[in-house]
Amino acid sequence: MELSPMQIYRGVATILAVSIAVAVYSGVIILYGGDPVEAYTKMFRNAFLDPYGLRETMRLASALGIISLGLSIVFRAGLWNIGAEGQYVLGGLAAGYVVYVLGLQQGGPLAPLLIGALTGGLYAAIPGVLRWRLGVNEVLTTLMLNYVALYLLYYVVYGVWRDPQTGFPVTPEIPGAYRLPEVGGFVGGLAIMLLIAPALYYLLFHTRYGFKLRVYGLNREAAEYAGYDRRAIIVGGLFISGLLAGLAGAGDFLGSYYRLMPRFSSGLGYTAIIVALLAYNHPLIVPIASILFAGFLYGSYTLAIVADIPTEATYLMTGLLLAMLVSTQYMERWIGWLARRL
Amino acid sequence: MTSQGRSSPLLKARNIWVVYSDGTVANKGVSLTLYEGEIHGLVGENGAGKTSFVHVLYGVVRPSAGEIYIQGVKTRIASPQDARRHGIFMVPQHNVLIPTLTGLDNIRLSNGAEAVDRVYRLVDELGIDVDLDTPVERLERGMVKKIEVLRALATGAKIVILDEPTSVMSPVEVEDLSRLLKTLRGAGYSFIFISHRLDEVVEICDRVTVLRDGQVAYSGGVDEVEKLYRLMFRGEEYLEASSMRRISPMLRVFLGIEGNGQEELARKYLSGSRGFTGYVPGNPYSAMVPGMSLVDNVRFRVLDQDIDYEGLTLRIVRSYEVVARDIYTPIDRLSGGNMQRFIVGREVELSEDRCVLMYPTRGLDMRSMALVHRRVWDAVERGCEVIYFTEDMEEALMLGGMISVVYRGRVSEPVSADEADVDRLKMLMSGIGWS
Amino acid sequence: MSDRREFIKVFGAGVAGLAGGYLAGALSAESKVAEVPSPAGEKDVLRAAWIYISNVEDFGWTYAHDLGRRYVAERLDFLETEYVESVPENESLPVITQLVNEGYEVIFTTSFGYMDDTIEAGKRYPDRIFMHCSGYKRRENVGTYFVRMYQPFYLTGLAAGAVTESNKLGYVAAHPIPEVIRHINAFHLGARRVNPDVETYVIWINAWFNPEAARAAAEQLIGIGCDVLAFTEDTPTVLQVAEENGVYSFSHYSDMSRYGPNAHLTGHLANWGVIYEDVLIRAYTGVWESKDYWWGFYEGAVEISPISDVVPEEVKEEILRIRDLMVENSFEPFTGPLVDRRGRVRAEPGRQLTKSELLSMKWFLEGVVGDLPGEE
Ligand SMILES: Nc1ncnc2c1ncn2[C@@H]1O[C@H](COP(=O)(O)OP(=O)(O)O)[C@@H](O)[C@H]1O
Ligand SMILES: [Mg+2]
Repeated sequence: MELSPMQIYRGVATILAVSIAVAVYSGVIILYGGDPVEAYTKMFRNAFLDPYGLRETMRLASALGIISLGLSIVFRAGLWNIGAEGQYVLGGLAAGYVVYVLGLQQGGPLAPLLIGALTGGLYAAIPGVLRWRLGVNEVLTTLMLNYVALYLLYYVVYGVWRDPQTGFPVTPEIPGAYRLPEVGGFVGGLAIMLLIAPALYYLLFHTRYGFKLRVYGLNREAAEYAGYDRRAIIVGGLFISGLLAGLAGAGDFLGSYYRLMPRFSSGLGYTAIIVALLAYNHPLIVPIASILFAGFLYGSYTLAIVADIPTEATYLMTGLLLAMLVSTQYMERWIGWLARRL
Repeated sequence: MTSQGRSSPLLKARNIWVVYSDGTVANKGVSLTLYEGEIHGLVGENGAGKTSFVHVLYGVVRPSAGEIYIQGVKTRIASPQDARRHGIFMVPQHNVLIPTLTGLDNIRLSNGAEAVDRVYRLVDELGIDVDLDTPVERLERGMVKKIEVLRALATGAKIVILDEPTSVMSPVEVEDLSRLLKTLRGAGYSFIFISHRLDEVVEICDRVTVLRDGQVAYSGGVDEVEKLYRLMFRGEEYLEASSMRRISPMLRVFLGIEGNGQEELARKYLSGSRGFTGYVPGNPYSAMVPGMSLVDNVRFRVLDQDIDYEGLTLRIVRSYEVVARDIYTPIDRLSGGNMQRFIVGREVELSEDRCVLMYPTRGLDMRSMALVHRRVWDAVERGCEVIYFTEDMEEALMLGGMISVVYRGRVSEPVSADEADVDRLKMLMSGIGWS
Repeated sequence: MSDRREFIKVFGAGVAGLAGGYLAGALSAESKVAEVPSPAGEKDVLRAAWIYISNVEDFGWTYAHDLGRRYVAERLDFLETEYVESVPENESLPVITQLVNEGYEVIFTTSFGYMDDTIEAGKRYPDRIFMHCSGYKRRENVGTYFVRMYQPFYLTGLAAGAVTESNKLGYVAAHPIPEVIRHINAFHLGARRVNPDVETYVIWINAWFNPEAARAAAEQLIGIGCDVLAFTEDTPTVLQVAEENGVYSFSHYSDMSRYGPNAHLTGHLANWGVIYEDVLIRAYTGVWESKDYWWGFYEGAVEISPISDVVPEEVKEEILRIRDLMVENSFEPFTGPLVDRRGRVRAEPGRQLTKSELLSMKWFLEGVVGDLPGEE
């Protein structure tokens, strides 16, 4: 695959955007009396060189990456699924249903994992159907369904599935038979992410369905002009993204938390949106972006420890990154202009 | 006429070069001088570099070389805000007003209350006929252009650049706009008027600059029309086109201003055909996928078929003279005319037994129009029925085929182009003579 | 029960020299000294870190813990402290890992939700000491601690029972778990001691930290006629609402009186510092061993705030008298006869509830009104 000048400018612009965000954040660290070089070094060491840190980073990266992969597909179709958070939670809830209520023992984690994924997919298909049949904006519906999923989670965690032994709002730990195995010392999710990424790349760039999705995203009118089936694109695209968010939710339940609690997701579904954008909605870039972003999220606590920066200030970094990424399209032009001058 | 003998020019651009990021050289040393109270025509075929040049004057595109002088002072125009500060305003080709608001609200929104006062004063003093109180979307295109010109003046502009304002107007609307510009010229305003229709340029402008391949081929008075034609087009294709009129019942031409029921008519023809029916919609942008290559822009149209997409794309590019670096260039990188020829070419070439073309030459220059006409006839000859919509009577007559006028949902008896009575067609188009 | 005595024994065994004067007292020599984790051993500096669920400025739970941290930071000159605030429940393991990497030897995790992560951390880092607040899981290098908050709640209940005119007390409650249920019953028990007619109305907000929900619940309770409001929520919101509506409320965990100068009757305070001091000195001297701290008035880990003059003098005296009894360990609020609202006898006259009964309490006393999920 040959890189066009535009792609090169874009890459340079992304690196530049991240560098500027890092530079500004260094200023913040200095403001709090820290040493940015030391802070970033330790952050990197804790997130990638420490064996436990690396495992945790990879766990976060795989959840984030699997959600982002799904988002990269719908975003390519120009559909804004803001509901990955809810689909993730519902995936965990459905897996919990299989474990706590049905008690389906056969197949170990496989049944809850697949049912979790499927439920996430169907949950995302609801806004898809509303969009397809009634033209309801999916941004609103997906966002609202996040709250529905969240309140459902509260309902079971505070109510029917609460651990009767302790009375605390946490469900009981799942038996060992249900737990996802590790792969090469890492959570199984990492392997799943690395399998899904090329599959989605193939879907998007080498199948007719992927082509139609992209056409629909670039120009809806043109897709209708060419007579494409809107239902397959809208409902199907949202279903795929929900499927993967649900898979991540079920995976985290079966592979790392082993239980449900009120803060089952601390905003992963929203962070995944940033990761997908950071990766230009490209399935082969998403895993890289999610690993870097997970490292950053994980390491942000090091900043709080080493540089005494309030944890909340990491949101500043996320915000900065987002702002810089939004401005990359302008930067692309400067860089193109500069490249021609040199 | 009025410009001669003035001491210092209002605006002078010298030796402007424009090189785009992909290496396209759109302007190769273009110079132009604009005097106060002048309407200066800027003509040239599609892709000649007209828009690029005025984008430099308006601060949208940064020139690779060249200088701009405003009232004799060398000036750098870095952005449209800069340009406006120097009294230059551009009315782009496409509508930029908010469709649901009235002209007045549009002006108030973008320029504030005092601009509204200024517009009222102008309208009163000069007796301008303009409708400022109807939502823009319900106005005719000619009226919208007039509002855009007034909006430009409301910002305090002394120089207004109009990029192809007439490409989608009926003859009556062109005349109306021409009247407005002449009135404003009398009040001391200056205009750069871009067009590829020489007849109207001769009628409206004081002086003209002809661009060809990014270079100035002529700059001066407008007296010798024939000479301008030859300068503007590299060959004799205009004359050739006008002389190749043929007649066939397989070519159905529907003549009429858009919005008279053409959509319903087109839909009727789009159904009930056996093979693939090519279709160019009234808005060709809805028939292309920006961000995708030319090949993919062919592929998306006939996705589930066993076709050599590369070969077909190459054939369209060649036979419709589409200027593109290669067939993997994103379609949005093409100039408007090239994009349109590509879409028309795709539809005509893919058609099996029928092809519906809505205003396929709108905005194209004469040479491109002649090219499209030739390909349409090629299709007719290979046995494909062509349904051709146009708003331009001259074009309908030139093209040949069986002509019907469309007016308020009604369709007149088809007449063959060589038997058509020009006056009767004109009457029918204006709603007179329908039984 | 005998925490303090045990501490003194251990203390005497190894460390008198180092921490000399810190606790003068009887030093008896027999003790089994913990051998297991003694990371600090001979070093000069001990590094301890706290993980907080919310911001240190929440003026409730986390604020009280941070007061405890500051207390030990000031008193123990071998100590270096650090804290990480606003750590979500399922992210404590990453934070612990990073604290360990940065060299922290004793780590306090101050929210129930950190329990499993703390245990996991204990497995990963056997040479570090972990102390988890409010949980029940321990291992050889993971201990637990909590304060007997129900003791001051009993005392504030006395104040409430004395000042109420409607005989309706309100309680804005976090989660229906034994800890909170204990607070409610103790509060109600105290109130009934001075006023046998009171009822206590409970509304669950299902959150430890949710000012909006706390406000809504408080207003609802006032709406049904409650004129004294107790609460288990991490902000001064309920006290503020009481002030706005001319009813009474309390401080919870740390002093909040400035949020409701007129409404403030008294308060239930925690003094985590004494627990931290004990843990850290043991860790520093290498005599720490895993156990459950459940300290109350007797150990100095809980206290009440100054009592408002609205409370009648004789009740005030009664409150202080019972407090002093608890400081001497000769009074226990949950002493029979105790009958729950379903009529079951929970303690025969004279019998005290055991620790395990207290820790698994899932019933309300007669006179507590409101739904109790999982009521036994
Ligand atoms: N943004 C651009 N990037 C690259 N090439 C461009 C761009 N805009 C125009 N061009 C090319 O420059 C040439 C002149 O285009 P333009 O100025 O739009 O011509 P005109 O307005 O006379 O039709 C064309 O070949 C066109 O393809
Ligand atoms: Mg142009």
